[in-house]
Amino acid sequence: MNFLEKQLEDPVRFGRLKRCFYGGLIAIVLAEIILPFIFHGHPHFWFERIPAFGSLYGLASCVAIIVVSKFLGKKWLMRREDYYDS
Amino acid sequence: MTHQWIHPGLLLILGAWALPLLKGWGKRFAMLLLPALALVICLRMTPGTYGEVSFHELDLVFGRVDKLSLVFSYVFSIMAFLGMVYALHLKDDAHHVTALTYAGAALGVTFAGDLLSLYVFWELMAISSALLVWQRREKSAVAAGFRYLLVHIFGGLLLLAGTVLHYSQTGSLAFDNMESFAGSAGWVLILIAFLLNAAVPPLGAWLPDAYPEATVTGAVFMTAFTTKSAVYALIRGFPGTDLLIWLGAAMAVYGVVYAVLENDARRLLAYHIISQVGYMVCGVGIGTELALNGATAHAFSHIIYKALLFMGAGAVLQMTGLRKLSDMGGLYKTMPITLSLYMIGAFAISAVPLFSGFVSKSMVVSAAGYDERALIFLTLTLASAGTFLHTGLKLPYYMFFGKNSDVPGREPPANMLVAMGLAAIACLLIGVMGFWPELLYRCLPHPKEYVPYTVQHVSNTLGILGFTALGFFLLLKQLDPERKISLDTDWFYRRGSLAFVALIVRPLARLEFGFVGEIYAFVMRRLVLGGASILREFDTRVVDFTAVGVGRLTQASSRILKTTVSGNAQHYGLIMMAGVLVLLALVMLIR
Amino acid sequence: MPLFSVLVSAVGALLIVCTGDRRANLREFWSVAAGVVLLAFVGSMVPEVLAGGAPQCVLFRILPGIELAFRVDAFGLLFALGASALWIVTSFYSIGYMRSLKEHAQTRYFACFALALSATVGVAFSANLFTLFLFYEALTLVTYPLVSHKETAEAKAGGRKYIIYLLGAAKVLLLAAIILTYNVAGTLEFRDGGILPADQIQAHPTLLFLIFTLFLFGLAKNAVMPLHSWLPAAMVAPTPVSALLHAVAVVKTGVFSTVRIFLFIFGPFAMHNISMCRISADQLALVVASVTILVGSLLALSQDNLKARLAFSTVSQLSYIILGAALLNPDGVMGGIAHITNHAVSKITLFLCAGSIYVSTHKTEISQLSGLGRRMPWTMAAFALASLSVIGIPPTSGFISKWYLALGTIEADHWILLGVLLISSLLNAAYLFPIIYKAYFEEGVQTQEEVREVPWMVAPLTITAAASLLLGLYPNLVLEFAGKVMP
Repeated sequence: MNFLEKQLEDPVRFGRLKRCFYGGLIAIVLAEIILPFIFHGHPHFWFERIPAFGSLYGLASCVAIIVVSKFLGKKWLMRREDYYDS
Repeated sequence: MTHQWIHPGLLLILGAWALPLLKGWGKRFAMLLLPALALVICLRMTPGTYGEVSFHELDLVFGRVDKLSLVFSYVFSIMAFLGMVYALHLKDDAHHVTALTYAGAALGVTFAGDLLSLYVFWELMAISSALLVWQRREKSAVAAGFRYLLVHIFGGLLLLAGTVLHYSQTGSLAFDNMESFAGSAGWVLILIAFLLNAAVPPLGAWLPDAYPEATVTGAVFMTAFTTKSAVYALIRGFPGTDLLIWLGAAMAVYGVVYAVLENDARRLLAYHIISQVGYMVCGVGIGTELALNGATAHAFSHIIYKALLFMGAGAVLQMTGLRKLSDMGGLYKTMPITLSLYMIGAFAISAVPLFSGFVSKSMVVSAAGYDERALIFLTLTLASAGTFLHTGLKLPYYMFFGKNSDVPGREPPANMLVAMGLAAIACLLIGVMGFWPELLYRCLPHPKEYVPYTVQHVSNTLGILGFTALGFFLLLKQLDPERKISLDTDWFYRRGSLAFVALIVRPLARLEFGFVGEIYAFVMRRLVLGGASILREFDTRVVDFTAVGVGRLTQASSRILKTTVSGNAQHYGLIMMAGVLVLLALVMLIR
Repeated sequence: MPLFSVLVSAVGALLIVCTGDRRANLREFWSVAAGVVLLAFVGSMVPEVLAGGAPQCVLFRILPGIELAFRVDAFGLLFALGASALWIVTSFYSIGYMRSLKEHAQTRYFACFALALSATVGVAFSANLFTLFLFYEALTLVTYPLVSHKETAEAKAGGRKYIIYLLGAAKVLLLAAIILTYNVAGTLEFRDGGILPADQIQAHPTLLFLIFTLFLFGLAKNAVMPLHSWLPAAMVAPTPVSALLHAVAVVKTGVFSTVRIFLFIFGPFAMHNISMCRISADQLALVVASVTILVGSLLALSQDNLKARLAFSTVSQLSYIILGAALLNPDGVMGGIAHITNHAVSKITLFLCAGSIYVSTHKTEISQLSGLGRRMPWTMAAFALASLSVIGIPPTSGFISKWYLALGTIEADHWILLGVLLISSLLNAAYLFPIIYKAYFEEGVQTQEEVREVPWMVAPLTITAAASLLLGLYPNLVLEFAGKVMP
């Protein structure tokens, strides 16, 4: 579809997309820090009270998963495609 | 009130086998009508116990209808309908028959009120799903299907053993909360059997082994029924079993870890099934009303969005022939509708607000929170990030974006798009209905209030998702798919079976034919036949000699006798008279 | 009435011989007619036996306790019913088989077949060990020409092995056991609970144990290891012979006699108490049966020849029956006896399918069967259904007997036997499913010749396959008979 193609192939439009993305991230972080003071949620645990906990944990989880999984794969789990075909 | 109760599962199974008799548009209509009818029947059912059959001293209950079984029956029927729409273009009858039989068997499991009828439908599900894997008819599919079937028969045998033990100890076959029997042998075996079907590691390797090998349309069916009916069985029989909490949390992470390493698109999605079922199993383990509601709700939304995801990946496979992520790319230009619908499913599984996953997954995580289980809470949240990472980011990136693959795509046939569209609408609908929780959660078994759309929750989720995406883009290079496979616990029985044959079966065969056979041959050849040849020697030398001697004697006597034949009648008369006189004399003597 | 049942097929054999090759249709008619009449006679005794009666008939007496006598009880009647019903089905099948392959010596074949049924019914209705022994041996002799029917060198060797194992074991082991039993008990009659006096059991447990061992292995027709090799060797026979005789009549005579001796010569009390080196008779039987079950299944895995695989499967399944009887509790015995019928119906279907495949395609090895599902739909469908029954998947008949056997093992607190049953089921699936998926889901070699199923052969195997499903859904008749043996 032309719309998507235009957005991604055109460097100007793609750059704009990236800026929107980063802007969105910043907005989320700000919301996470400010909103609990307005709307009182009921966190169950102490770590939920850390400002922007969602964002931090999300990034940490993502990185942790990728790093640990790749490590496990390289050391142990990955084999050639025809491993079972003996 | 007792009215005629029709078992929707039996309707599907019998209707399925009648399908080959129809042709053309009649068949297509019937294909859609059957699951629709099943759904209508399920919607109109009132709670109660139906279909009680006494089978030679055993009480079987085929229709145990309550809120829990009803909600699962709704989603199974809907899924059967969606799957049939998706498969409408297939001319292969065998596929439709097996798929509907499979769906019908799942309904049978849902409504089974006793362990024996559960077992019957359990086995029927195993066989019909194995047939779905075999439908692809390639060598790898045939082998994978065989492994799948043996694993499931093994699970079924565990269920049977557990049932027999349970029946022996309690005298009852009733299938209800088995808490009071916790720790007994029957309880353990039945639990393991349920865990196997739910693909809990280490018993779950059959899932990523077999699902990618099934046909495009078959895999869509398979994602729904086996694992979710096992989840239903766990909710029914083992709520609150602590072990399940840990298993569930571990499962959630396990699936996500393996998915990082995966190159095959549908195998990656299969690992995500394990991950999501982990949430459900964890919920069952926590056992509070909120947790059980969450497990049920999550099963409901999972069936639909997982089907959507498999439909999307299947559509790509069908139209391009590609299954490995390392081969795909650039398809957003040629398959934008598929991409959009797929993304709806991806957002649903990632629990993006406004989609179905958000209103269901959060129940389980909240339940962990209310139950003060911090580690579980964190683990499940971590897995959520991982889910978005793979299904929402990695898969679409490599499948639709990324580098350009050589194969141009095309949008799949209309019926497949319609099925995907319907599923996508369902995902959105469920998600949006979260703003009216009383309405949405009406069907759930336990009356517990829960509000999914709170500011805290939404902002938290958006944070997790947004920064997972950031992490994805930062580490993009690390995630490039490699042309490799990863080993799972099926290594044990795949390598193990080869060892088994080499170490046990072949030596036994050699023993049987070599050793035991040799004994027979030795006894026969040397002793018996040897003895026989000695006797034959005896026969030729001594006996023949005697016979020859007698023969010569006879010849000589006959020559002598010939001389007595003179041809004279008087001589004969004289000799006859003489003979009679001798006889008379003899008689008188003996007297 | 029992006597007439035995004689019917003998008369039929005579008529067959008289008719000879010239009027083949009339000759075949005698076979079928004899079968129908036999089934009618046997069936006529059903109401009486179900009500608790036991028709008897004493022919003549040699010594007190040694007489030629018949007595029809629930156990014998169930066996005879199955054998006679399946004979009719196999007769039609044989007609199709023999004529399609234009086999030689058909008169001899049909006559021996009829005589074999006579001997089988004789064993079923025997009132004592002497009668049983007579008909047991007669069965061996009469089936020898059937096994060596093809008269090739291979067939003769197979037949030789067959008769040496069976006659040898019977003459050496079984006869000795019978004579010794007569010495100890003073009679050879079958009685509920056994005929061994309690004081003898206390006094000579070792001797009685040895006699038991002689019986167990002397009845080599029950194919317990290590005297089982005659069964795979007998696969050189034409398939209808393998089907009826080695899935139904000969082997079932062996296990029938074994169970008869367990329960009506020894009885539960003796079985538990006679022992040698702290192993009691029932424990020996359980161990031998378990080993046979497992090793038989494992050997079946290693065979590529279809009939050989089915032969080893039979070896394994027969010991299910012995296992059930040796458990000596109502559920186990019921499961074992029900398995006599359930397995017979399923196994005969599998063998009939093997024969159908051979006649239509001349293929004998499993690796050659790719793609047959489409070309021989009825045969392979029946094969698939009967396989499910052998594996024991509900709602087929095999599941019913497995259920009761499993209950029996738990009742006797022998959990390891439950494991044996389940492992065996898994192995059954492992060696039967490849045949099914090869036939349906592997592409066969494209050949020009057309493959056609022979109707005379396909109809019988469809009937037996349907029966294995029906007996699973409506097992009441079989279970009622089986339940009467040890209430």
